Amino acid sequence: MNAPVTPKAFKVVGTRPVRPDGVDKVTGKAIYGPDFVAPGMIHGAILRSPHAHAKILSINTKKAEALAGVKAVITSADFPGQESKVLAGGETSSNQRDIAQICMADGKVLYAGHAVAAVAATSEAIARAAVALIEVTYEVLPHVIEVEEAIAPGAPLLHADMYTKGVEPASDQPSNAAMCFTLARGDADAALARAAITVTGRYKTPPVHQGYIEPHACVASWNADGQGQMWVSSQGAFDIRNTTAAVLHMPIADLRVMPLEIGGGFGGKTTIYLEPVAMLLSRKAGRPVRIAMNRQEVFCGTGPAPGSVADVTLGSDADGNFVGLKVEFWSQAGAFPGSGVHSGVMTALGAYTVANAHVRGWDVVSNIPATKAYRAPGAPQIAFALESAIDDLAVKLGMDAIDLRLKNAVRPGDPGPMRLPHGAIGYVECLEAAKAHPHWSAPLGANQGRGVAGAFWGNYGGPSTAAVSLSSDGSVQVTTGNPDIGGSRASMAIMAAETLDVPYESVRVAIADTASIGYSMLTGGSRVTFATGKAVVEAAQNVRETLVSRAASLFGVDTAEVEWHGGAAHCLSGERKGESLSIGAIAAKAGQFSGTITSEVSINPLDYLPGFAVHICDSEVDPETGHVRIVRYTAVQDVGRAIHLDYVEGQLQGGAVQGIGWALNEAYVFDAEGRMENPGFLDYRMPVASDLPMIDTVLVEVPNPAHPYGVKGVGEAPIVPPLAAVANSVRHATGIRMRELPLSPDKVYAALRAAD
Amino acid sequence: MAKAVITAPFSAEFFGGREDHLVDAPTIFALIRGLDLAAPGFAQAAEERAAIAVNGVAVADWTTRLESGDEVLFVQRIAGG
Repeated sequence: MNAPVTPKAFKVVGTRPVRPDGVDKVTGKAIYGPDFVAPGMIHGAILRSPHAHAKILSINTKKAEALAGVKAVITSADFPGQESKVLAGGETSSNQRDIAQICMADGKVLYAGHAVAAVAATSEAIARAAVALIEVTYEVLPHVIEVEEAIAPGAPLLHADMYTKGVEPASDQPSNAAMCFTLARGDADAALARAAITVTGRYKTPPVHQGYIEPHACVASWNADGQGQMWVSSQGAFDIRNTTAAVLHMPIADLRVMPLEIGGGFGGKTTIYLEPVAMLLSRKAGRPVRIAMNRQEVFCGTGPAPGSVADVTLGSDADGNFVGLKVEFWSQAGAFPGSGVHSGVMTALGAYTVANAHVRGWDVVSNIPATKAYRAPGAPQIAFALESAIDDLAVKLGMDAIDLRLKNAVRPGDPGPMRLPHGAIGYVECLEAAKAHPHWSAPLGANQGRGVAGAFWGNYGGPSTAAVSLSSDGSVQVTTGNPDIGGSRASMAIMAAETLDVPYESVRVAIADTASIGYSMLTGGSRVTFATGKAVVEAAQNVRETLVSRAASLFGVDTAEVEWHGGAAHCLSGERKGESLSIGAIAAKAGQFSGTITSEVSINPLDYLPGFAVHICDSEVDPETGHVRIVRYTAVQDVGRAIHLDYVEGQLQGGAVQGIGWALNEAYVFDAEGRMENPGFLDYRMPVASDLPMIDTVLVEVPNPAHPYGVKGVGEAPIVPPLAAVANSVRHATGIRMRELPLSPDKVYAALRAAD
Repeated sequence: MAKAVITAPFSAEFFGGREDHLVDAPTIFALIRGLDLAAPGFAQAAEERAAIAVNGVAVADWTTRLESGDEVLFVQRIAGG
């Protein structure tokens, strides 16, 4: 169990070298979004709507424009006209008009915090003072926040021209349900009617924030000649460039985006909010403009993960074989469509074989910020419902919760949720590792319970470009187009060093701007170590082939008579048999060949494999207060092969902690006017280190045969199981199934008292 | 003839719920062009929203050659974070 399929010994892969960007980050030298300063730069600020839903009747900017120090004021009238047009970006696509309207409301505000106007001034204080002078007349409209209210008959409509897509017959009435997506196999209703045992329930989760520490920020400079530059902290400079250029009707090549360090994204920095605004202010002011959000703006003006409601019915035969599954899932998309409905629906069918299933998801708009990805988008919400139901089924069956999952777990060759057969997946190995772990059989204390939950996440590949070049001393420069969020500089250096058989320390990795390397899709979808890593390895292989070829010329033999190992070419025959040429010695001879040794590779790999995880959680419930304390937590995951052990373990730990926060504490809370009541980290309570035990990790390695080092994406799967793992532990501790998150003390206390 | 299998939501949006289509096409490009003739707009939707697999293997390159009997699956593309 857990043994790699190809037990090849590696020199660098699977080690824990020091991260190359570590010193800059711990000493504060690294330049993040709000740090960057351009010569002549001025400061922007944004006026945001106080209303959750209102028509904008007029905007008077005269007083703001008259304030000393103000250089530019813009509203939606300064944006070019937008058509409803699909923009491909990342793994999926968005509507260009919606993106533009998220950046600046046009005629109507759809959430409290929606941008209405913006100012650029010589200081941030002046810009904020000018914002306060802008007079907006609103006609306040009825608003709707919760999903169930938004789909109720007579609910206030956000978009008069929105008709539900994906329903038959086609809808002829506008609706807040933007889209419906169904995956079905067999006859779920008939199977559930025949099932020996069924469990059913309605599960709810609130919108939650991704919790990145660094707020959104950018600096933009739009020159008189039409060319522009932006310095942005984001998950993908190329997609930020493409989307901004589209909204501003610019030729893409006229806009160059320089990636800055990113202080966390988790899906929340895959889109634009400030960039077109800063560009328009810059063009109007003739100066570079920086806009940086404060924390309240981050909460009220950017997209959280969607809330959800899910009805689940799961049935099995008397032996615990799943026979039928029915899920109805509503995702709280926020002001514009596009929440993780497809991936949520897919997740419901990802981890288990069930012949009869009907899973339907609805994308429902309401008056909160348009939601965005948060690690595996849509998956934690649906897994909370499904994995809780599986736990209930295990109780009814009297079966061990891991044994029940093992009995039904998908294996290689089984059909995946989208009908494609699963490849070299390791869910069974994860479940076996969890069952064998000492945690699963450890004794529990008073008021403690143990829960387990599994996870499927699809992962992704997609377009990536990487370059590998040699300096004249043989040191290696790797360049990619992917911002380093989770330690990818180190992972790329490891893979290049392994391929070239050189020391890790001789490889340096840079993140290029959009004019300096070919397109790379954003850092997201658990794709970078897989896809960009594949490009790095291919480029390094090309460099190694060139090194061997040049060494052969220098030795005066055929390339077949040259062997590469230890970072040097070794001559196997002829007069120079036994001699070696180091990588530096060959690189120094570039003048005798066609130039320096370099290779740039662009690829679009789709032979990625999904991730599977199993988490075990022990919690202790205080019967007097309802407080839930996590006392032990173990995260098991099929990681393919871990390139840098620390960062893989860190992904598992980070995902677990974020999921625990989702389960126990976190929620967007809105008042009666639809305004967020807790837009700061004091009132929006994320877990901190002192709240948690050490998160133990178990790395199960079932390599992906399509990757040269067996990589599978690891960044998203670990946030999928914790919601249910925590809830299942609370059920075990209290005997009470709680179906609405967060399991905050007030709710748990109320449930305990109700059960008394 | 290649067999195109168009799953939801594309089957409902463009083909009245019908999933299976036999198309004489040497490449994915040609196959999609053929399907677009029958259901205008499908090619654009495929470009923007579909993931494609040939005989169970995901492919990105629409110049991929098709043999008679190949199964070309169109499914919704899924986003990550």
